[in-house]
Amino acid sequence: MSSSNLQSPIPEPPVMPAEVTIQRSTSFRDDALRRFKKNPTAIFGLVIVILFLLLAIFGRQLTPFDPFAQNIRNAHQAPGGEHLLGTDFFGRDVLSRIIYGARISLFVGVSVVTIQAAIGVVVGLVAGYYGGKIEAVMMRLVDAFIAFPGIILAMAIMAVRGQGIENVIFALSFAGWPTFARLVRSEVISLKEREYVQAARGLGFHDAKIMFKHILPNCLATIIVYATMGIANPIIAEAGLSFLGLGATSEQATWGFQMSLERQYMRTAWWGVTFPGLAVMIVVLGFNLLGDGLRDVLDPRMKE
Amino acid sequence: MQTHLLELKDLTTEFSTPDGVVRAVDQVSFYIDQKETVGVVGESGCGKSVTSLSIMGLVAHPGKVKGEIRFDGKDLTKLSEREMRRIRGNEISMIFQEPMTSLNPVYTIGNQLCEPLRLHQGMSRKQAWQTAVEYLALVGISSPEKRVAEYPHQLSGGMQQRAMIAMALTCNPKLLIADEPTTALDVTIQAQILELMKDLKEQLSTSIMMITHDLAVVAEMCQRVIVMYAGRVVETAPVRQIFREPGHPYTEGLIRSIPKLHEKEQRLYEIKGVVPNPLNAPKGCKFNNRCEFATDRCREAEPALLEVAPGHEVRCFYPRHGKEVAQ
Amino acid sequence: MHIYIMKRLLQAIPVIFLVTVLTFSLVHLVPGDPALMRAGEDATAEQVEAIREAMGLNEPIYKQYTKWVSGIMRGDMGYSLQDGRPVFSTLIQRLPATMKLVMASFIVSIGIGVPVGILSAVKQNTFADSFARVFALLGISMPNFWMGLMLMLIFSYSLRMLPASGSGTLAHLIMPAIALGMPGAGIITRLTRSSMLEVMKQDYIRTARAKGLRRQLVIYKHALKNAMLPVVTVIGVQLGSRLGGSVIVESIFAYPGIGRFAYTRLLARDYPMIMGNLFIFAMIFILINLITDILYGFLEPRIRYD
Repeated sequence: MSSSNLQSPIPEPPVMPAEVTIQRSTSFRDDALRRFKKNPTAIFGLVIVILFLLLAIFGRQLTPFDPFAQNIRNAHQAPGGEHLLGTDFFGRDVLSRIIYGARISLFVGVSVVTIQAAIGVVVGLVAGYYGGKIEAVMMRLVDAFIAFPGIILAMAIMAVRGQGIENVIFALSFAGWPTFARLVRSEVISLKEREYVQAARGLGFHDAKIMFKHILPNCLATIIVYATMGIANPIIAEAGLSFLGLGATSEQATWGFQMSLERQYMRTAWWGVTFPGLAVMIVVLGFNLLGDGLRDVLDPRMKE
Repeated sequence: MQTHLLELKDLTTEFSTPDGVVRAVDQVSFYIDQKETVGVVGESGCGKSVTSLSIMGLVAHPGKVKGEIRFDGKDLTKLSEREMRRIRGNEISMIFQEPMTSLNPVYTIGNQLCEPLRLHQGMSRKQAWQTAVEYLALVGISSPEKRVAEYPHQLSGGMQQRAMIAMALTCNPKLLIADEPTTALDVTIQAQILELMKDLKEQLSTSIMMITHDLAVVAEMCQRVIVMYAGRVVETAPVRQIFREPGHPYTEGLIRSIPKLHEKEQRLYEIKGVVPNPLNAPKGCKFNNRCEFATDRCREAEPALLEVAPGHEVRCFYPRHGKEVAQ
Repeated sequence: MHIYIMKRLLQAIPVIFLVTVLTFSLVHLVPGDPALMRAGEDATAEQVEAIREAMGLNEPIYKQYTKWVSGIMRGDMGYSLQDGRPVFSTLIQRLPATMKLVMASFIVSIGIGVPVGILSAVKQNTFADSFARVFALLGISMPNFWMGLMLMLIFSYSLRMLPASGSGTLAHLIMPAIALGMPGAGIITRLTRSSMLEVMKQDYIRTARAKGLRRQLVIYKHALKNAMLPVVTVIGVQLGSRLGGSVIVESIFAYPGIGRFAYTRLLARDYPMIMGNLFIFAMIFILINLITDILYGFLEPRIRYD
């Protein structure tokens, strides 16, 4: 807004100290890093994310028990004791199953968001850059995609293609890219009037070169922030699909799949569904916190 | 001694920031008499806007206001929030720089004009609406019956500022604080608005505190001027006096930087440098790093605000005009 | 205002057309053979062929599409592969229960999100604010079905306060509505907070204060209406994920709505039902977003007169 902070009833520190500002913005990277370090919730988010990444990478070495070793006599042991988070109906260690599941969860989250962002970036760039009829057609298509509830779209695709994590990734990528397209398009529209883009056009650069070399890098901060927060969506969606039996297979044993198995025993063995769900929540919380922190750091003006 | 309508005594407004305490207004003292128009002049960041917010009691957390604000016999700093609300918009009202953003976009002009009338005058909805129309007519808005039901964005910038003025005047305030009322407007509209304010002042006998960075506005409107720099009053004098014999080098710089039609100056004068960061202002006179006449003395100690001629006070060891006084 | 509404209506037409194309191609063009999936792995070639015939899969693709679309225009979405019942009326019958649940979930989201968001903004940087922000984040991060299971565990199995499944009474609606509404409550809390903070910085708030208005009046009259504008938009957008979420939440609580029904038919690969369901959900989404757009026009005079 155009008016200065000075006149606001909730004044920010008045009088922007010129010298101090100049010192501070000498390096955007240093500045961003400093702001990130000052943000305890963002650090907390980062710690959660790193922790789960480590679980995903070294999962098999870290599991206290074989996540697939069945022992019916050991079924539904309560948490505490030998099995920290208890055992499931087949006597498998819940903690080991959760650690094992981290890999698939994160893999789904990261790969789906990557694909969504890739599609969204191309559509958004082209629509925003060319405008006119191309934009109108592409954005109506985006509107049509958004009109379908993502999870139902994914369920329908799963119903056609069958269970399995590859299909989950396909189905979820199919459903989530329009948000990226809208995001990138609105960025491009505001960027393409800038002088350097105009200059590049004036110099007769190829459209594709202008889009990818001059416009895209300037949208990256926004895309990264949104993608980080966006990882949460496919993780929750995968859990939901698997919970409904339309996601992972029994060999893939994700958190959602584990919950769908244990759901019927919830009355007697509450830990069976509680802990895998908690794992979903914590990792999603981690990405949300990290995304919030990145937003504050990379683009303080950006709003939800 | 006559009692002034408004008198500030050592008004100090501070904000605590993570980097230290910022004194936006530093021991400011001045007065405004009844029916007087006083200009408060300075660059942005000199503390003039914070001064006005301090008077209105609108400095919010983490700001702290110290000193005395005597208005009509009361010390405003001692009043409760409830008592203060009875003064705001009633005895003292304010208009702002950006009429576009200062009016609420989702309510009609009439709705916003009625608020102070209903609040302070206890008018009925119908009475207030009627009065709103009258005031819109008073500020020169054509077909006020129609305009009153419109939304701010349907009015031009000049019309919006007229509506703001109407809103400020509805309760016949004793003091009108105008914070850069014409800065955001086109030059021709500026002149119209200033003309309107002058007219209304005569009709309604309101005192005006005119905050501006533009000395031309001051010359047009005011009887006296207060020049502020880095939260301090550096000079105060009657308008004619200050243009003829500016005492402070800063004031002189401001006057020299007004574009003049009849003088063929090659380049417009400008005061070098910027207002110092309040967190590390220079020692001694706060203007010394930008002053072409500064000596070691100016870098050591800060001069006091002393009278150099009747009604003319300057905070400088070496005033440009008037008698040099022993500091 | 009429022009604005007309414009929004006209914009919806190509979107609806694309929705029919998408719904159709989802089942017919996505790699994978619907007939084979429907028949199951043990089916004989003849069985698969019979299903293919029944679904009309042997006709040219454009013919199948025009047939389906012209059916829709007459309110005919074909017949279930499972029980032969008409798709449209079967789905419409189950819609009111789901809409009731979705509305209840919005009451939860808005009823919690807006007041907590305002409180959080007004008491910025206090304990109440921190609490509200943590609450919002947890709401957003919790999978709705897990939340549903946890509610069931606590309020049905442990405390025996609420029925774990079924429908009919208000008590049946409470847990599904909370499970479905909590993530939205988190989003609306955050949005209300940031929007309120942004609005409170605006010049017109200072003007309102300078008039001598009470703080409450400044907040609830001058700030709130402006701050609610983005919230109205987000409510429309959220409807999509609500309808999607209803599938899972209704299944958990055995709530007899369109979502649970869709789920059973998805598992059974009842393709005409799946297509009908997708289409109806998309239409509801488009309709509700039209309504929120128009509502936005009423709240925001600058749009109304464009």
